[in-house]
Amino acid sequence: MRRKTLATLLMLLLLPMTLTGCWDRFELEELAFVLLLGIDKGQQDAFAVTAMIAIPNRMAGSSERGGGGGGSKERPYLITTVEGPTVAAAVEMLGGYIDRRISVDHATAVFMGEELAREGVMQAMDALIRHRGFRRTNLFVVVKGTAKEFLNKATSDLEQNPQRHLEKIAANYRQYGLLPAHGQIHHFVTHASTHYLSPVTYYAALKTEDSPSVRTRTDGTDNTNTVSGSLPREGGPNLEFVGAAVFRGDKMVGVLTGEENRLLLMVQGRFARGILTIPDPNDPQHHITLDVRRGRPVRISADLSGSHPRITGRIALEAQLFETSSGIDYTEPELQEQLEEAFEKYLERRLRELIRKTQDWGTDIFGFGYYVARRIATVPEWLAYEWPERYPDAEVDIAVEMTLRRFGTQISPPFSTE
Amino acid sequence: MTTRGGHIGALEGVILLFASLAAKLFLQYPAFLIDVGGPAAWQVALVMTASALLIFLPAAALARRFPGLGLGEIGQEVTGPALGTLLTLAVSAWLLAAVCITIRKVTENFIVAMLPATPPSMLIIVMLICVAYASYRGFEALARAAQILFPIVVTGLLVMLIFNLPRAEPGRLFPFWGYGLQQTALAGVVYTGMTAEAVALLVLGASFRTPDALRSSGLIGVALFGVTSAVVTAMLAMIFGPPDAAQQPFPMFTLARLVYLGRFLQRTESLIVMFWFFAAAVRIAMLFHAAAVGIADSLGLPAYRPLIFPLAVLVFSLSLLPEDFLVVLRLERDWIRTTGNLVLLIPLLLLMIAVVRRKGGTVGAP
Repeated sequence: MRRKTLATLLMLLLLPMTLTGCWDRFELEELAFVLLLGIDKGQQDAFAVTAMIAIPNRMAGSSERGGGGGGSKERPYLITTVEGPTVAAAVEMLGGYIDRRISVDHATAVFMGEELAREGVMQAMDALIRHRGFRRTNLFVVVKGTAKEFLNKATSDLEQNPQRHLEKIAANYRQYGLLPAHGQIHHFVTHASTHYLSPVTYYAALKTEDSPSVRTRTDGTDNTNTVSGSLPREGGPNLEFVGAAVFRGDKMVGVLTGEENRLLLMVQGRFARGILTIPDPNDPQHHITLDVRRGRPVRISADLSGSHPRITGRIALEAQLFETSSGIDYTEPELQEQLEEAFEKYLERRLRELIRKTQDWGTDIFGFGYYVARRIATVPEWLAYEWPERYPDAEVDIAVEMTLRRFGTQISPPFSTE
Repeated sequence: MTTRGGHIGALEGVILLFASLAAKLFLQYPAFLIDVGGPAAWQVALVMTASALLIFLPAAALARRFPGLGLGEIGQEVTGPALGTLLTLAVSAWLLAAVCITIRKVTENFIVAMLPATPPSMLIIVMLICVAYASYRGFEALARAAQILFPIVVTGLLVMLIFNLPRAEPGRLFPFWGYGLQQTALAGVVYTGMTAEAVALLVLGASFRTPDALRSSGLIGVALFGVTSAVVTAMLAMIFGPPDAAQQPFPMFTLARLVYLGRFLQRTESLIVMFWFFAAAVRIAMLFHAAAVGIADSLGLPAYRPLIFPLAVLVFSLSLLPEDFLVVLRLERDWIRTTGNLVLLIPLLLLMIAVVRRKGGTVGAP
């Protein structure tokens, strides 16, 4: 009897699950799935929303033809742009001419035109965090130019599914460090709503005919000191994801290059590894390349006793020698030390420049605010301290400690008897 | 004494109380705490727990003084039929109000999160069918069901927190003292009413094997809830940041939507919705059952079962009264929690009167 009672009770508990088949039921073939969404300033209304909508039979066909759909030139999606006074209203307008019910449940990224991002993104962001269809895990990408042009012209030869392409690109930050660690809507909203740090997010651009195909560096910086839309290359997909869009509050104020993004990751303790190239300290005509990895955890502390806040820190990195084009043998202990020092000085100089740049923008993207907040007892005192206002005057001194651990699969550089 | 069916021990009591309190963690409760405590919300949770444990002690002492009796009968015994009935009916009324608010909140959350086109009345009816059946079968059946569901709900909660660990930023727990020690302590004491559901155990006191089982159920259940609340609010503050976390109407659901471990593990909210409903159903059923038993005891009725249908109809009607979701939230924050403090004080009042009037046994009396 008791078992029967219990079983009935547990079955009754599952009763609400059956309600999903009543008023809120939908058939898959009646839905139009938005894959990616673009938001720009509108011409006639406040927002122009561009939707990339999946064409399911073409998507299925592309995978059948074998890994990436090399056989068909037909895109597995349609792209359309519609304007509206709000983002949600514009998405709703899609229902006026798309014959299936619009579903944003499977959208994975939101692209925003740079012009709108510079004017402020929170108005558009409201729909993205309030609408149950959008997810906070969607990537938030600022694009050079307009999102409409970006989505219309973007192509990827390796992945026919644009979502998959984007997911792989986003995962690349761990491997190359050329994208910020945080690029989801969730990160943007949580960072923008506190004084601990200012948001940064992904920055993308199309490779256009006007983009330089060859670039000559004259400033002696690493070759990753470039940004989306200006990579020195030819061929390949026309999308570029390098660097980061920097915000003060909800307004975009600047762009970080790939190298600057790596420096940001190093300070945040989120740098995994990257290839770093600088002029050879003993032969500046040649370059030297290290495979750099994160060492011991980053140490940062804040001192608020002086007239200006003072931030000090130490970043520990470990490296493996990758390439010495000069042929100098850096396995000699004194040269090894010299090399480590050269990299340390280079990174410290670039860090100082980056910190100065962010202070000029008035935006603490590093999260030094977290360390300042530890020195303050209560929230009212923290708010009264006005860290974002003080950051431009803060004295920031971050030291880099580079240790050359390994030399690859060969000790000395290759040589020729001739 | 009304027919309640079965007797339960300390373990079932702990699970039932913890499950019915922890169900609030799936609703707006963590956001309330973060709103008043900021980065120190976890401290508010701990102060609230300490305060609730202190306040529950008189209730436990009262149960030991009147073994085998529920609050309704104790009230009549201590203060006579008029005042006793009034006091214990007030407790039952509060329990019913908590049921109405919870059922409406769960309904609103279901509508906002996953069933936008489903009429609220339909969701309420379905939930009330479960609740009424659970209450009809009695406290023991309810306790056993909670015992089965408990590991599922706790595992779900833990999994959500663990999967979101990479998003947690400990720096968001600073400034360490939140809005100040005074504000934290005050908020902790004021929010003691958050645990007023523990009184339901006293209302159902006759269903416990011994007064000690009731006492252990209350103290351990409240303590477990307090620690869990502190952990959950700290995690939410670390994941969302205090300002954003305070604006989350159902943070655990949002947390489930944040699970993103590559392509292979994401969109876990369909699981959390199930845990969400299980926890809410246990909570609503326990409070509803306690209210029905409490009213029957207060009025000296021989059985509580005839009250189930009228009370279900009453809950259905009252839960649809608030105009919108924000009204529901305000009712809970400003009225249910505030009056919850008073409800927690009723056992203390009865104990004091019992001591003065030398009513009940002396075992364990202060």
